[in-house]
Amino acid sequence: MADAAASPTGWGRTGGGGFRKPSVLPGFGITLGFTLAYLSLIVLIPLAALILGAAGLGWDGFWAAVLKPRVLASLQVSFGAALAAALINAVFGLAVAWVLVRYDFPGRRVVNAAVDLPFALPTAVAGIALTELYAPNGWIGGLLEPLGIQVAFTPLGIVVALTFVGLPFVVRTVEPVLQELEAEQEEAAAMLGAGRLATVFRVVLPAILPALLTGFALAFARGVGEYGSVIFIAGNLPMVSEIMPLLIVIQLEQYDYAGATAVATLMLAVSFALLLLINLLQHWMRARHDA
Amino acid sequence: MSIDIRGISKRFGSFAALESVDLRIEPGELVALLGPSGSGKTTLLRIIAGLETADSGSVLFDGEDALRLHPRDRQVGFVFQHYALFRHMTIFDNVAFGLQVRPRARRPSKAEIAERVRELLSLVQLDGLADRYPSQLSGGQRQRVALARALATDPKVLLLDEPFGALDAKVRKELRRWLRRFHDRMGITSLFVTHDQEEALELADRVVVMNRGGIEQAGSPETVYREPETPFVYEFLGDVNRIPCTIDGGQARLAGLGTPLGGVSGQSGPAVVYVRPHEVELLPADPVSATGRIRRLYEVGPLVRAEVDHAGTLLEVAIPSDGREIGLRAGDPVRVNFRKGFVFMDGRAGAEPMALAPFRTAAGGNAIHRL
Repeated sequence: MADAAASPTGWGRTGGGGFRKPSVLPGFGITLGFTLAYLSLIVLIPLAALILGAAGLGWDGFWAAVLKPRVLASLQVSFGAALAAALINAVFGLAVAWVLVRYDFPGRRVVNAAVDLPFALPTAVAGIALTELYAPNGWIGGLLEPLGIQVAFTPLGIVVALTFVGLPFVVRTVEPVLQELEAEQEEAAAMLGAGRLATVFRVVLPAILPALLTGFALAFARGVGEYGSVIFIAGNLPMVSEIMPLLIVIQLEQYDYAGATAVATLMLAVSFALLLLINLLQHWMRARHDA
Repeated sequence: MSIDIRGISKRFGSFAALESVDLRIEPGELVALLGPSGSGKTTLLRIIAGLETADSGSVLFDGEDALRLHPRDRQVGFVFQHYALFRHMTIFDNVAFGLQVRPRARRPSKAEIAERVRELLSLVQLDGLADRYPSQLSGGQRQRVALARALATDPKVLLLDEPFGALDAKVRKELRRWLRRFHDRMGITSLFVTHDQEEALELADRVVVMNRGGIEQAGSPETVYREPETPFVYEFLGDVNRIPCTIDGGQARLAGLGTPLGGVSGQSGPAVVYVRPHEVELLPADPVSATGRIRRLYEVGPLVRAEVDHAGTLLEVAIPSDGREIGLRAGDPVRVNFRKGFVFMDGRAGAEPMALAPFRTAAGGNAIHRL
């Protein structure tokens, strides 16, 4: 790069003054311009409008709208269930990715395709199917009922639905990293006397942890925003199994636009904070061994 | 520890990677497995380590069956071509790994591990780098970390898979000298795989030349170089000229060469003469007695290399020059003299073993490059 900047033709010097380093890759201006315009239209301006709407309430109005017990309960249900589902997916999604990468078995392609179904299926369909299964008179619900476990129409049902929609995120982010992890790393561990468990926990897991965290974050984010599948299985009892997106819709139906905006803004803030935290954690992890 | 390899065979599908290989490695020996890719050398190494299973045959460590043992119980240190260092661990943790994963009863104390790691890092001349991550080291340094890591558990055998393959030429040369000195000091039975003949000849006590899943020849570097048993060994160990000829009554008649080469034992029939470039002499000649013509001359360090048209074959010739004029120019007619080489009979009906006969002609009287 330095050579290019010093070249007598001078083409490389165009970016000398600014933050842009001279580069042979063309199209910096147009791609950055497009990215910013696109991001603004699709993401930033709507979100700004949302915050602006909430700002219309003033601080007192905002807190009053947000600190209602029903809102706080839904906040807890939404983020709690999304977190639980993402954790479940982190464990079992990893197992699915492991099986898909490591073993060749009859029907592998079918399993592989099935993993992506939650991406494609209308979530309402998933919600109805899960409700059908987990309702007290359903196939699985009927088996759980004698044990005193009720899934459908409780917060547990929400976790089940969110686990369903979040699964592919973990599998698809972990899979390529697992595929790239050289067998030599594990062989080296074995040659050094490590048993299977030590190899998995000391060598394999640390290597795929950043990808696992990404998958976890994606599944979590998806879970927080999920609406379609949850409203069928949740029962939607205020204070018990009512999720925030549903609360927003209810408020909109009651023409309480200001309240809906305030709740949406709260949701936005909490989601952003959590995702930022996960990103920072990832950054710290990468910096540690890719210095 | 001695290693006894007996009748090891291994197939991958329809491909025979190893076919009944026998080899004995004496305690403290440094042995090179040399061969082209696909010759089975790495597979053999991995079978000894336990990273691959043999279809049949046995491997004995000091007379004890090693194939029954899990790789982690074989007391073998393995160094991978691409180092296989644990990227998320510091150099210290990499080297300490083998000690830290031991069951509690056999695990040294923290202080002992720290002391051992410090000792090993100083042994591989990497003191002070314990807190770095592998990505912060150069290729040569990473390979030495891999070596230190393999030695941490006090292995009885050290196996190295193309240990210098991923390094650039200069570092490679330094590191292999260093490894030789290192081996002389530690005396640990070592086996390394390489496809670089120079590396094998320079580094090893004994060179095992492999081809197509079998051993072509095993011997000291001098033996395999000077007394190759098969054309493959001869060709693999250096540049070579191949000249078709006919054997008749103890003499080899070469196309384009007036006087036949004498002293060739073996049957009569078609054969090939193998001559190294530095065993070819070029004598100035008038166009009538000339047997060849110089096509190109170029200087490479202390050698002048020539390409010579010789009765339809292109000969490579290397002439030591020490920077002096050798009295030849491109386009000159020359008489070609072969000082030393090998005659291998053409394998009749394919599978028949080839007869081998070394020949040596009397030193040419007025070879110009000796001036």
